[in-house]
Amino acid sequence: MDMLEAMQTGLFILFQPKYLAMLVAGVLMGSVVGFVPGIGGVVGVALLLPFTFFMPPEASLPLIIGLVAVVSTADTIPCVLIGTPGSAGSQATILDGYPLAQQGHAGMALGAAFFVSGVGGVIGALMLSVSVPIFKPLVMSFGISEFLAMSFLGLSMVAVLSGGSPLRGIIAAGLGVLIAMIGPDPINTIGRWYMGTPYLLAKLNVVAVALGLFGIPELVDLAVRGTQIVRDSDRKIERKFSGVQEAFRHKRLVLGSSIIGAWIGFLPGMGTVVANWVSYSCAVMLCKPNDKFGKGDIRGVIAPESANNASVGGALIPTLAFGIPGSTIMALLLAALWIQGITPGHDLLTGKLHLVYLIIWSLAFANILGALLAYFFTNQIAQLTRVPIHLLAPLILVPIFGGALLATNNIGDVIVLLIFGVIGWIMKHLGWPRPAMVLGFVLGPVMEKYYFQTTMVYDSSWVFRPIVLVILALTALGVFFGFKLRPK
Amino acid sequence: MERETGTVRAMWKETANIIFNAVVVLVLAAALYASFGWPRETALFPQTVGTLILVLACISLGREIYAARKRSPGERTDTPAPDEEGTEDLDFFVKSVAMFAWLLGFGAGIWVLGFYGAAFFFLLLYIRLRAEITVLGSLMWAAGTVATIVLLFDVLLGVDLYRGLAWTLVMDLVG
Repeated sequence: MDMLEAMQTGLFILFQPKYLAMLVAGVLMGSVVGFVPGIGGVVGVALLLPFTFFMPPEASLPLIIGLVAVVSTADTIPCVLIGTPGSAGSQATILDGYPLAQQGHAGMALGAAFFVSGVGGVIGALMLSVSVPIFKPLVMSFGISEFLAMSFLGLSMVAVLSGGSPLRGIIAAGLGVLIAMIGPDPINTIGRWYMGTPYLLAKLNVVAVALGLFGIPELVDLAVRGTQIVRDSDRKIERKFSGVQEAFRHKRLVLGSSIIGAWIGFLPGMGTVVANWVSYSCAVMLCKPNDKFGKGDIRGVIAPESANNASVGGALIPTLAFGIPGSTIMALLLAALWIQGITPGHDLLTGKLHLVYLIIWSLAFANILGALLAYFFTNQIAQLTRVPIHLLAPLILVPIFGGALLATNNIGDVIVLLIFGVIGWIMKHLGWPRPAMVLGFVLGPVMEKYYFQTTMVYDSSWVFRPIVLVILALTALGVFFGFKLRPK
Repeated sequence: MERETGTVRAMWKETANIIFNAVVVLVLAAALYASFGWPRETALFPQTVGTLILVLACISLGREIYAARKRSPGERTDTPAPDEEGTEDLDFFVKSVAMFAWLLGFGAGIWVLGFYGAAFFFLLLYIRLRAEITVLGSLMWAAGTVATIVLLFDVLLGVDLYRGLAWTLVMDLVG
């Protein structure tokens, strides 16, 4: 299938009513999880993951991408209105968004944010689309050894870059790899560490692990902390169009920040958090005059909001081309692809290229739809802040338990969910990076499989293949600089 | 007072980190020991990764213990918030444990009553006791949520979620 044909097929699939409905459902869900502080895209994607068992990829991909694309749009609302980030990827937006709201310009801030989020997301999708013909020849030249080396690169980058301590990141990633080894080995199918329990003779359920590590701790903390997200949310948000006008005035900033965001998203271990902050910092450094930044400068909203939406498109490049997820959300998307029997890399870029373009079209349209939804229904979405946490928390917890059970319908999944919930809570409060553990868990079996295959074909000389050497050198450099540049 | 409470918090966090590190080391050591009887291909990858991570975990534990001993008794490791009272962390911890107790109860309820039954009672009790909504309101929220989940999982996806021990016992008695 050539690229033009794949593009057309992807678009045709997306606009079939049942698959378009999945996109809309994902966008709606992303709006809610992005808006409620403490939930975030990871919990949302983990909740959707079990449903992918029952859907074809043409339905599950728009659903997941719809959610992922829009989290970075909806999370601006609590940033601006109450000075709390809806998700980690919108922290920098608070610096100018909240002061703007306090000065009576909440509408302008939100209008600008929603518009540039849509534009940034579309630019990210465009960059993903442009990268396919560039990376395809590279991917086709990769063998198993190169993919194994890329797995080391991706895992090590996330390990050293997520969280304050690279050493803890590497340990967490290694633990994730070992946890994934529980169950039958791929060569002799001998059960490893199953402790005589039939449940553990199958692999641990990725949904239960992910929901336990991320969903349970966030909701426990939410339930322990709050009564309502905010009490006073009667004010109407008006004059959003002035924000759109501001975005047009600063169109070079929008474009530049989107490109920065997409590039940062491409680098494993970076993600929306870093994209958000780096683009804000660049705006402060390069935009003149810059004395109003931090006190209510609309450019301080435009830059980070363009970047964090664009970073999703960038993050999809290594995920789809090399099977290297650069963040937890991408790791879960990878798990969703594997559940569907789709292997990133060769398989996806040759026989299933139409699915790549389905993802690209879904990303573009989800960003536009999400921006429109947030723009026209801001006041309605803002009403969610009045829902008591002790009502919201159990309504999310119940589907979390249900989602964990969905894959195998075994009570063992609930036990795994609870155990990893405790582990995740401890890791969160002691500063151990959970994304590294999830990534290790998702990539571990793949790495083992690649390792055995590559040693069968090349013996130990696989390490000396030229591209492998380059990738391993990059890995070593990344780990070295990760330790060197860690915050003291 | 601020200096003292902040120091207490820092010490608790240090201790918790040391304990967590130590648990990681012990678990890794036990896992590696358990892998010694496996065939070569089965053990190769886990033992390679496990050994590396065990060494790193020991280094991490050593660093935590060294840093804790090196720090002087009055020295803070974090910045105090203006209104902290020292009991905040203990209160948060106790409430978190209580929340986990709710989740454990829900999990146990799923095992006994099945998912839908446990979900209904969990929602009813939690919303009534924690959200302090009226009994009727709590019943409606619980029933409405469970009905939505039944629609989503059972009707739309055709998945019959875990039924629980009670159901199995009843079926055995009847059938």
